Amino acid sequence: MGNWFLNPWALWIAGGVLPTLLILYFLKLRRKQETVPSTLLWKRAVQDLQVNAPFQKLRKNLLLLLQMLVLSAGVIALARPILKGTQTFDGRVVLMIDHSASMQTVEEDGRTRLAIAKEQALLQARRFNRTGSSWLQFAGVQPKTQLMVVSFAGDARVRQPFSTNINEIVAAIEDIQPVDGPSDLTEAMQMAEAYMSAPAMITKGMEDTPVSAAQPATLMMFTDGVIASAAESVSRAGRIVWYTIGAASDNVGITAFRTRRDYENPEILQAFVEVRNFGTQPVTTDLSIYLDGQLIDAKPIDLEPGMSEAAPPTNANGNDNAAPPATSAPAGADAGRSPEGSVVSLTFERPVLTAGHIEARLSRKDGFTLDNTAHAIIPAPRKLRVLLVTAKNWLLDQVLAGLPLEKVDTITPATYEAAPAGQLDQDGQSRYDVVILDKHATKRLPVGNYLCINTVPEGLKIETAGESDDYRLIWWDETHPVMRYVDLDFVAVQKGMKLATPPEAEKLSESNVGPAMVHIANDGRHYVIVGFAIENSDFPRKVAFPVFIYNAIRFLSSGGVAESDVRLRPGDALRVQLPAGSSAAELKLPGGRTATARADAAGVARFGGTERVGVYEALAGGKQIDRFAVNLEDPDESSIAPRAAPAFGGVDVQQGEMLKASTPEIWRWFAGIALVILLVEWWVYTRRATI
Amino acid sequence: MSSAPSNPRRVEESKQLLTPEFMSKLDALEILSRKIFTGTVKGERRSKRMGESVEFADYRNYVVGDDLRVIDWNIYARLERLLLKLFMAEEDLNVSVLFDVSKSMNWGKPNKGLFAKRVAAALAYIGLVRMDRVNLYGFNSRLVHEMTGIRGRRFTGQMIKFLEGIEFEGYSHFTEAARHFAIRHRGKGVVLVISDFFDKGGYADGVRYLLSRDCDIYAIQVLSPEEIEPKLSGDLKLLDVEDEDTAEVSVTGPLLARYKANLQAYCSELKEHCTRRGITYLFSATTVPFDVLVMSYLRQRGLVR
Repeated sequence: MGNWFLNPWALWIAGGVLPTLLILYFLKLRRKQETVPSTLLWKRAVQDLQVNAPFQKLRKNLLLLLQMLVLSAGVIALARPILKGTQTFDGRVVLMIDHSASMQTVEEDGRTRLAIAKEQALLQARRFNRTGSSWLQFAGVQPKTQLMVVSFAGDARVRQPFSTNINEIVAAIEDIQPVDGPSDLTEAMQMAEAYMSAPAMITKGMEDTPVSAAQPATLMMFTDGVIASAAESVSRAGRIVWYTIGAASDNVGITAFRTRRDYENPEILQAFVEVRNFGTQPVTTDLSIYLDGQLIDAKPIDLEPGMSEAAPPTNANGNDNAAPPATSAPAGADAGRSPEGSVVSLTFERPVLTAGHIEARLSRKDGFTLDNTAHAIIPAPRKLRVLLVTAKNWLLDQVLAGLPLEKVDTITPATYEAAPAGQLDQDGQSRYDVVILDKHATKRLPVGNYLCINTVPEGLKIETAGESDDYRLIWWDETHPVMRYVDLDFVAVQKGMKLATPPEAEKLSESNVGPAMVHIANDGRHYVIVGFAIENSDFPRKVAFPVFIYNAIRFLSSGGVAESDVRLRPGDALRVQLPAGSSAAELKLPGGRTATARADAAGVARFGGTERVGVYEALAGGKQIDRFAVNLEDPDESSIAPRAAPAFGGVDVQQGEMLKASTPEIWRWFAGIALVILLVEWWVYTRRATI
Repeated sequence: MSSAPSNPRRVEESKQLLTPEFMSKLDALEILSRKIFTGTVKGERRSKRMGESVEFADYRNYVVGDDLRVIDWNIYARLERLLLKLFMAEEDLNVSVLFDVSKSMNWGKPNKGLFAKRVAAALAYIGLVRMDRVNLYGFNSRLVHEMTGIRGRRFTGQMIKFLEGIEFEGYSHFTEAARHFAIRHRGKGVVLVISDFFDKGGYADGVRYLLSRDCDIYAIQVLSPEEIEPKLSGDLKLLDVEDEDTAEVSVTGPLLARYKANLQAYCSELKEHCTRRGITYLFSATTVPFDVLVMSYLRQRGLVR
């Protein structure tokens, strides 16, 4: 019954209104008194009409009958009946709703895919047992279908564990808000299956016997299929019904945005933008670069079609109502591979003398707006200050002198240890961008960046096991920013330290006795450790040496990451180094909301709620201390063309049939019937009154 | 009396019960009885007994002891047989008029009570003129007004005064009134009952009491046009004028139809009840001019000639 109505609550109104009408009929009228010679015949006449029961009266009362019909028709119209056959699964159903970035695509009807998915999920949920309301259960109607609601994007969240209460389910579905991150199906599937398995009843001696789920659940997946990890997903569910939401594929988006200051001329800002066209039409648009809202540069872009119209990446059309048979494995195998689109890369170079918020903006409007802008935060131009702590090392002096640095201070280890606190650090932060510790192990390590040569600072988990005379460099990571263009091929090392590094350390280079060069981060400090003394090698004589120092200083000064690699994506954690005395950072989120992140013992606050793209501003005591830009930069999500269901390891995947909420509604018919009956009722009433 | 309207129809509108013109018409009438009763005194009515009227009835043989004066001497002269010439005796007739004086009779336009009084007055007048014994009884739950044993034209004024002085009050209880009448009334004769017969106690028992006196009974049911065609509508609380009983009705087409059907059935039932028991039943709406009723309807029914 309930499956036929979109507003079943209206039927409860009927339960109240119709008896009220009856009661009104039973209520005594305030009658006009009229004297007659005898009531004998009147009483007989009334008795004749009433005969015995009130139902006799009701049966003869055309007006009441008509009014009941009017009310019934009106109430049915309110209940929004739909012409839809019922199809219910018994057992358990998991409604999985994708709320990732691509689900924010606006479709032709002006609604986002998430809105459509939620509506479809609600329609499906309402098709199942509506008997969740407690007093029907009380009346002995047993609920049949248990529903669970899971939302997934980068991570999955159970919005509602298995329940038969339709109100809870509806509330859980309606509560789902979009996030700007990519989708990951794996975690969602794991979570759903964890709930799906029946409560294990393990008896003694039977611990190893797998207990199968009492009822295999049906997974209903409401997604556009834009899921990077879809191909790897495996399901143990009994059945998967895949509802492909959305149809739009036209999208041009920024898939990469990097900014950096020129090393030689820090006032020059270099911006690198990668724009892709995922649609089927060639696109001509332009890209504008804004600094704090002011346009500073713009370039036109011509993009080839990202994919040909003849071969769209999906074989399933979301709005196709003819339910196709279960998708076969080849169709599933295609899913999860996002088409690359056609790419245009642009580079901007503009002098920017201040710190600021750089925004790249595509002037073209499309259904998916998240990737039409990208943000970056740039620091004020500044040359680096480097402290060299060494007894005496003219090789390093020479190299540093040749680098475009603001200042290089050289002090001896003794002076370093004896220096007053204010000279080396301020508020726990090092005054120098990079400190080079040459053969000097120290405990005095203000928060900062350290290049340690032939020494391991205390407090790190790196163990040293003496020195080895037989020391050969055998491997180095050419992809790491520090080792870029550093050729260690013919570098001979006389002797070096045997290092044992923890797993979190990045090995930049390895020797025959262990790691030779390591990048490790600890408590807000970044270290690049070189396990041998440079003067014990011919490294300084190679071209690679100044390049290595250059890379290391540049890498360390950018906070331990390559400047061009600073990218925060939705879901990544923000790390805010708080000034001394602050215990919490206030965060201004994109969209005007605020949040608070508490600092740990080291004065670092972390915030994981980066669900939306945009600029996050960290404040401490009302003062801005840092800004972060979170961008989508995900070609997989930007390729918004809906994709078919993946294979899920051979589980029966069925293409779900979309329910229509608008067209099959027939409430107008009932409203019309109510009107007609109302007219008849009026006619009957007036006819009665004129007798 | 001289200023009284000559047209009987205009009498309807006045309170006057009888006009001289109408009375002169009534002078020619007499009340008939389908039964022949023995009267008590010599009257103007043929009796079962042979008597001293001028109307020849029969001959019979003389027996010793007969009055010699009634021997038909002419017969004796011709046939030499002694035969007695018998004449019809003329005696008086008991005419009793029972009329309903309960509150319900004081109703309607034209008024039922006035109508009843007029009919009673007219019949009483006829009776008086014909030297019958006229008894008038007004009843509601019992006999409340009575004027009995009047005879002769000279009582006309008294009779009209009596009728005019009667107020309508109380509730009707025909059975009790009839029982009362049966006890009180001695002698046989014509009994006229004028009422609406709307008695919640029923009329059957009352009719049985009347029948016990072996009288020639006439029942005249008088109803006002408001009762025959009610002009009511809407949701009403009907109040019975006699016993203040109430009936809540929503006057609808079907209810009105049902009322009329019930009225029809009630009247038919009364008529049948009367007819089966030898009672002449006459229905009259007050819209019927009462002179027409008396001069035409009652004649047709054989009450008057």
